[in-house]
Amino acid sequence: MVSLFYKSWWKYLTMAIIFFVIVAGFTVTVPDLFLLHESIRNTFFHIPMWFGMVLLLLGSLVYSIRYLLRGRGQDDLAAASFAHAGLLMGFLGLATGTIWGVYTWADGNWSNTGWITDPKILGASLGILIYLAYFVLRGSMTNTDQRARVSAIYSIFGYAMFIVFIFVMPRLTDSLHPGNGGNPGFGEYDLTPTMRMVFYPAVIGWAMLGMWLASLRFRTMRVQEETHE
Amino acid sequence: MEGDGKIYVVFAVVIIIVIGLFLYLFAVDRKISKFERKSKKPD
Repeated sequence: MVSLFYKSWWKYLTMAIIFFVIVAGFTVTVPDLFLLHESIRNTFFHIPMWFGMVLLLLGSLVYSIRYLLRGRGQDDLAAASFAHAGLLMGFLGLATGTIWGVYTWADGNWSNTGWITDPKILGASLGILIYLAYFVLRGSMTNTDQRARVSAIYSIFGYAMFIVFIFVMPRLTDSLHPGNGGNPGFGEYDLTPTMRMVFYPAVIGWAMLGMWLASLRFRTMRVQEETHE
Repeated sequence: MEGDGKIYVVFAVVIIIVIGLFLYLFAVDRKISKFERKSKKPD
């Protein structure tokens, strides 16, 4: 996949998909659900942030394991780059979800802070903390081999816990998150066929954008390494 | 929220933002490619 980083075709495809998602996202007919109304369109923007994060962090995990198996520094760099992009999407997901929640559930009242203790938000925040710690860990070590090995191992445990925190934990208790208790993420809204037509490309497009960001970071760090040799 | 003509304002705003972001991404991508080619030269 690292070789893909240097190709361009999928970047044009990413832009095309995202343009489609934005145009369609704003114009398709959506069901008028209680409390959500038109904001249901956030489905095409907020939710893909989380899918993107899960996929990018999975990529980070894969490259961490690859590093442990092959010992190539490039794999470690890729793992860190994926984690970086995944973390960004996590922040965006948390921010957009917060806004969405406050203006629906809390009726726009920011002083109504009941949403902060929602299990899904807590789970997501914990996930973000796990990967923030990943970068703190990396920053604490100067020896490149050690840094790569330790962060790769941390990655493995970290990703497992991340999945537990955002998927398993919120469904074990009551949650404000729409439709928790149903399917993971889909049972939430009655995704009409029209919505699905926009939603699936949205997930793919935003995830590909995340990969583009990861690729840029990877190439930047790589070039910096090479210039310092 | 009445007056659904206004949604197109949001739509235009988002498109402009996204176009700007993509242009930026492209610029960064090209700059990195330039650097990579430069540092590969003494081979």
